[in-house]
Amino acid sequence: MLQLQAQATSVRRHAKRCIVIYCWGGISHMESWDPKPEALADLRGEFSAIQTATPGIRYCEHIPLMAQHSGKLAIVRSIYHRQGGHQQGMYTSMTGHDPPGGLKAKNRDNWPSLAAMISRFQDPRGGTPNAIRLPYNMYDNGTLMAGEYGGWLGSEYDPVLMKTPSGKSFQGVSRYTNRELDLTLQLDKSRILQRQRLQAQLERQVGSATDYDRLDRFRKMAADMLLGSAVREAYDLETENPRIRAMYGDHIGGQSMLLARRLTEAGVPVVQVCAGAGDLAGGGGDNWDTHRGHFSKMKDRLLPVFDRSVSALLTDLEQRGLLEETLVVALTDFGRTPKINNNGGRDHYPAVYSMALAGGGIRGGQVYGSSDSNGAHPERDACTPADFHATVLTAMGINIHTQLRDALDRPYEICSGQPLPLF
Amino acid sequence: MKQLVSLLLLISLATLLVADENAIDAIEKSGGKVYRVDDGLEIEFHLSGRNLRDAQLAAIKQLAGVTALNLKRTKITDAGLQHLQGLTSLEILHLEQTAVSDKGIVHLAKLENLRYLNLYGTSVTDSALPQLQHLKRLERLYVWKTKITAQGAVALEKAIPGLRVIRGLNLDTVVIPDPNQPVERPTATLKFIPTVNAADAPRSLTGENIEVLFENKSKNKIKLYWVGYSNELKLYGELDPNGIRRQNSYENNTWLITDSKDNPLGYFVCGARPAVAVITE
Repeated sequence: MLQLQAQATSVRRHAKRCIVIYCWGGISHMESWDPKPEALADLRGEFSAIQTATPGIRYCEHIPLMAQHSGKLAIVRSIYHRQGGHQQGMYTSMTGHDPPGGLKAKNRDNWPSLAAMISRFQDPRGGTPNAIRLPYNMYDNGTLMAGEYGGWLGSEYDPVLMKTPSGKSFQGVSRYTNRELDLTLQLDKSRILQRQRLQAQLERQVGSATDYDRLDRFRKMAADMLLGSAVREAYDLETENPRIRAMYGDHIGGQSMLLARRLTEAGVPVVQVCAGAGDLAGGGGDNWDTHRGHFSKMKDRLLPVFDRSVSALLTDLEQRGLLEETLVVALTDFGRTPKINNNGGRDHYPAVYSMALAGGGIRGGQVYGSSDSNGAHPERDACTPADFHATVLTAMGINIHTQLRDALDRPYEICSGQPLPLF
Repeated sequence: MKQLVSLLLLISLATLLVADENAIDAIEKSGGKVYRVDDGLEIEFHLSGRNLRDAQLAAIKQLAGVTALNLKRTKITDAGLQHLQGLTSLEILHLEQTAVSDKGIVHLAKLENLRYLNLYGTSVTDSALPQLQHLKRLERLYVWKTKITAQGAVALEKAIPGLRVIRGLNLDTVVIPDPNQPVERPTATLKFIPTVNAADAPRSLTGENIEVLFENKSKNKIKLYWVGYSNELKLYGELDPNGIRRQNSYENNTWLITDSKDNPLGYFVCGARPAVAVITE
């Protein structure tokens, strides 16, 4: 038995939990982590840069709260890839692999998302999903996007979609499917138990096939959660201190971050949050795809929610002593064009952009790599989403050279990048 | 002779392993989890072992090389901490949200390798500071929601180089928004264009993102349809008399109003600014 334990966890884990924040649509690097106040007027835009709590590091002026947390954050300013479309960019950022042609969301040949991959290496507990996504799926004009599922790891590693139970919604289109897990359902405990007994009787008669086991795992987990596990307790935001709730903001963006903290605290290894409207809907609504009216939308609608919610998350994790074991990462599809377009917007730009990490053994107060003076290309230490994945997996204590096999027994080495020196 | 020595070594090793195994069994029976990591053992009770009581903690004493112990939200008290005195390899200790107080801290003074100590939500006070000063390798001390004062924290940071004491946010400074505060009403108003023919309502065009506040001042229930980009009608909701609805929309979008039986009453076309759309019919 001792040996079994030893095999189960042979690597030292720096971080035990991970929160993946996803800025769906492509957050502008120049209006967030990598401002260029010295660039020409048609490039630098309307905003200025502010000094952060770390001497020499500047962020965009509209994330002032985050600037106070710079000592916890590592910003990667030299990441790039070659995918100019949302679907392809998101897939690349989320999986760390280039997309194949003809991507389909439910295709089991797709690479697993970062959250799914991390969850693959965790020790499942009763009533606790390995990975949870909040608060809805990502869509582009009604098409479900590939990249945030379990892919070839199999359906049992599809992160469970959960609906954030409170908060003012993002403007624009967000699609709920009515299949999100909603633990506020008022189900009678005796009825659930009765159903479980009935099912146990049936199973004794029928026996259980292996194909059935995977589905069964999810059903059992759902029943466990409804019967009052730590996850259900975490889901009830009404039990949170009202001042803590207020700190995150009464917006679904903030309440989702709060729920992410509560879920990871309850033992869920990885939680992914879509930080914006769920459907890009051609750039309309509160998502990061700011082709038109970029500056007003960033300043008035997107950055305030982002700044407040993520800062609250960092404050809250830190004061509970959870930041050391909780890795927080902020990902996005790509950056946005350095040159402002005729609609006062910025378009898709994968040639250089920024992503951020905090906690989980990451050394804060640093910037890795840089973009050139126009924010157009990597200048120093160019790196890719694969390297970013290697960094996150390493921080989670996962060996990036691990080989896994899909349902057809084909071997895959889980990561093709190299960890960045951020520890 | 050599063989005998190695045999003896083997036996003693085996006994040690059996003792270890028994201790681990006991820990797991109390709901704990034991993880073997490169340089020792990590033990957690905070998820599945919250009913842990002081006496059950005794099993831990038998284990060598415990580097991390998580007792968060368990039922342990000051008395339980005496079982931790000999865990000198301990680096990470979670005692947050337990009944631990100043009296228990005395048992931690010999944990010379401790670099992380979480006391958030316990009743420790500045009186525990002299004991904590013995922990020369401490890097992080968490004391949010305790009675440790700012002065006390600073003094401890001075006494232990490399230590950061995290006192957390003073929640009294967080303002809770008033739910009864009236929501801001846009100043612009959209013109209601009456029609009985749905085909009169022009199809929507794209534009800036704005919000429309629909107010049903009529005596009847109405339905709210968005006229799509190719003239299709999409039902967004119903409004009872005196009902209001905040609706996300775009400049140049058309909203068709019908009665509850889908007979058109009229339509609105959005402008570039947030606006109120009042239905009086």
